[in-house]
Amino acid sequence: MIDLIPYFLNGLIVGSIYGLITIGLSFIFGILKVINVAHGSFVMLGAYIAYFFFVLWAYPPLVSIFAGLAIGALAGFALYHAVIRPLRKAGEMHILVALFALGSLMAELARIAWGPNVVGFTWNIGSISVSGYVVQLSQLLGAIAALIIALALQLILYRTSFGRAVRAVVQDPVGAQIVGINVERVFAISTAMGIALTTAGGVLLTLFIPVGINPYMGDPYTLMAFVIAVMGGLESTMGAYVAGLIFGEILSLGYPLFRALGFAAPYQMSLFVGFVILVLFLLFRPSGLFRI
Amino acid sequence: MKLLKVENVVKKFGGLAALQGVSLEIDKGEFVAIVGPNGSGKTTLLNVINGVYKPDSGRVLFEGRDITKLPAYARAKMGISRAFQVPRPFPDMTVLDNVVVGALFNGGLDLQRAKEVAREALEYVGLGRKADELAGRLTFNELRLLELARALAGRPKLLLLDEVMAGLNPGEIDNMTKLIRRVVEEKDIAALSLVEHRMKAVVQLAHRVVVMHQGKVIAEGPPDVALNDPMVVEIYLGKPWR
Amino acid sequence: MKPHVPIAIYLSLVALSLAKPELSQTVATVAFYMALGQAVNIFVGLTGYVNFGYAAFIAMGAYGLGVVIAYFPQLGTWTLPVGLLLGVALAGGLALAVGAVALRLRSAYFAIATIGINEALKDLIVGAGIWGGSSGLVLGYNMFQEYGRDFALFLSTTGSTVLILATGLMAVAATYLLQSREIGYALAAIRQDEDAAKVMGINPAKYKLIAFVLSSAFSALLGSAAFPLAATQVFPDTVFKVDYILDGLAVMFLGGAGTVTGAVIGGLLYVPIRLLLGQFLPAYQALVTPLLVLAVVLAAPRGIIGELRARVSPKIREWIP
Repeated sequence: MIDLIPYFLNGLIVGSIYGLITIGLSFIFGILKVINVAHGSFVMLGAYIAYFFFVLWAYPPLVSIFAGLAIGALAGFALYHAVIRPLRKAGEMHILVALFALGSLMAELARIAWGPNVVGFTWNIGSISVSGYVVQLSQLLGAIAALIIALALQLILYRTSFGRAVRAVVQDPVGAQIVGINVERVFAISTAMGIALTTAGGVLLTLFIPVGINPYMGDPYTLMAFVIAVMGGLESTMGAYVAGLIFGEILSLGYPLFRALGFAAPYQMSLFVGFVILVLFLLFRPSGLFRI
Repeated sequence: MKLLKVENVVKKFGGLAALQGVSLEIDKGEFVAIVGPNGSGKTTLLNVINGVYKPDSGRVLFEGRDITKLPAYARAKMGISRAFQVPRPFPDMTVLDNVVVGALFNGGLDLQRAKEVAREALEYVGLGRKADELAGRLTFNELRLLELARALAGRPKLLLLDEVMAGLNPGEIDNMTKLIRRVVEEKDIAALSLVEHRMKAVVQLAHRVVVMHQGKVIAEGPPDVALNDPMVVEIYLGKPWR
Repeated sequence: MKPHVPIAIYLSLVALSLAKPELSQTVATVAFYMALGQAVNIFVGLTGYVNFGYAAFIAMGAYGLGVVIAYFPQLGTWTLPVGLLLGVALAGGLALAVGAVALRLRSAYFAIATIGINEALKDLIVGAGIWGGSSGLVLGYNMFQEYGRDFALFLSTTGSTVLILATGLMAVAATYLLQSREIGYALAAIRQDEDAAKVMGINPAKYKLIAFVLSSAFSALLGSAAFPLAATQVFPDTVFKVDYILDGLAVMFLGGAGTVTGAVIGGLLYVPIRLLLGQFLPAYQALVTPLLVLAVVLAAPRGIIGELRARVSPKIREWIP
């Protein structure tokens, strides 16, 4: 019999990161109704930020996360003004295609700038024992940081005037415009925030992939974020976070399960199960697990 | 048997009841105008009739058949056509092809016949010479006529007209009103037209007027009677009609 | 509408590849992108929905033929038609299943689902070790056994080129026939205003599904031609390459989405553009495709043929459908 508790703990911790990675996707979709198919490339950007801050200046991810947020916000502003806004009139197909091309462009630029090789680093600050089970302290702190960021976003959404403006725009863009909300600005800031959250997620992700940073690492995270976002209701940020925890468990518990069942590549099988979950949700409950 | 029967329809958006138990009947050959201010629920009613919205309760019957649960496209195939308030042409198609779409799917014709019917419909509304232009290039008045031609080419039994006069000048309104009345009489169909209040020309040409207010029908009858109903007079700024 | 121009271009490429076998490889490359663009156009161009999972359908074609060649050598020469059919059936069935689930939903969900198919199928094949798993199918030996040496060599050169050209030609014919029939009107209406189309009696899910299945079937034929036939091997890493969708989109958008001629012109231009830029800036070749797609979508979303059609008189428009 396999002891599943360490896998469960690990799923919860890594799930917090998956949740954070997905929040940005749900946030942007909820407000702009644009599904960011370049999502994974911004995760990749965050991972490289963490890498360079660590190897060049020895700043750990818990510090470089602020750089991730800042650079992500700038990238998000640029994304909105260069791609999304000019194409809003042309239609959804054009936005999707342009975003997809952008994601690919970012990966190729990363390859040219930082090389095609897989890089990584380990920030080792020891481990603690949770009722006999060893948990890496750095990973635990990363998971807590992700939770704090997720909660901070809720505070912004429900306790600030910007949050009120966002919610007004979501309910009725035309009405919001009439009562004097600058909808364009809300869209731009929301895109910036969404991308900032995504790159921050990419920064924290590096705590879990000591040798997995490369230009093309984003693709699986795009799919993963889609699955989680749909589970969480696609427009709900807190739903995305909670669904992230659940998905973390699926991947983490799926691994020993598929290994025990004798599959050649248990991790890939877990990812496949993720897709099956996506299809099941699309089929039976496109509105997601939670209606918030 | 009535062509269309709407029975006690309720439709809520969030907490807001846009329709609070509306009933309505239309016969073949009737031109009915639904009058009401913005937010009175008349557009919601139209959307419930042609299947864009499903009502929370109540029924919609067409030729005696319960169509409450049918999707919009199935209702269109049964003979319900609609012209939108803001014209929604397919801008990259020619004017003729726009109308062909109506004849093909709304009217259930084959392609050959659909093209003929589409040409006829364009001539009928006076857009014949614009047939080969791209629809995106028409003027607003022409787009309104295109909407009508497209709806007519579907050989409807019931024509739903969503404030098709809004934005037209008095001459164009006059022309459009006569056209609709002629359609109803010549083609023996029913038309249900939404009208912003005080659109005199339209209302006078209607056989019957239904006045809506806050999601309810508050008066109904021949134009003169319905619009001089004391409640209607009071709601519309306290001024009697005319 | 007159489809003479795109058909003439295809026929001259067929003639060229038969007359000059040494050019077969070049013709095959150009034709592959032309046909891929056309397959993408049949769904993306005609419906306005985006399928990011083309590689999965290409892979179904590749595996369909590959599996028959690898596991049913007793069929001999029959492995070719049976394999092609199996590839088309796998791709069509997959499209039918995914489309039935996801085409009912708004287009964002559909895009998500299609990105998913690609990753998921690859994960399944590698993860469960199906059809050779991560080590793929190597078919050279079996092909010699089944087809004989000469015919096998012919198939992997001229044969695959002709299959690619035939697929492209069929895709052109399909685009043309779709456009000039009832369904073409339905698709054009759905693409331009889906809600208005519904109110006019069009069932969008039905027509989108037809286009999706067709488009996937053509992608599968390309997969069969390019991998088991031409390369005599099928590896998950090469058949499930996300690049194909970007290539297909580049060809389609460059030429003009939703037109018959667009992908033909787009394909003729795309390969030389990539080669030329690759020669001058070899390190940056990978940037060409995404930059091209971005530039066309942002600056000229109607593409070459689309812009032309909007400018010329109705009479000339007839000739560039």
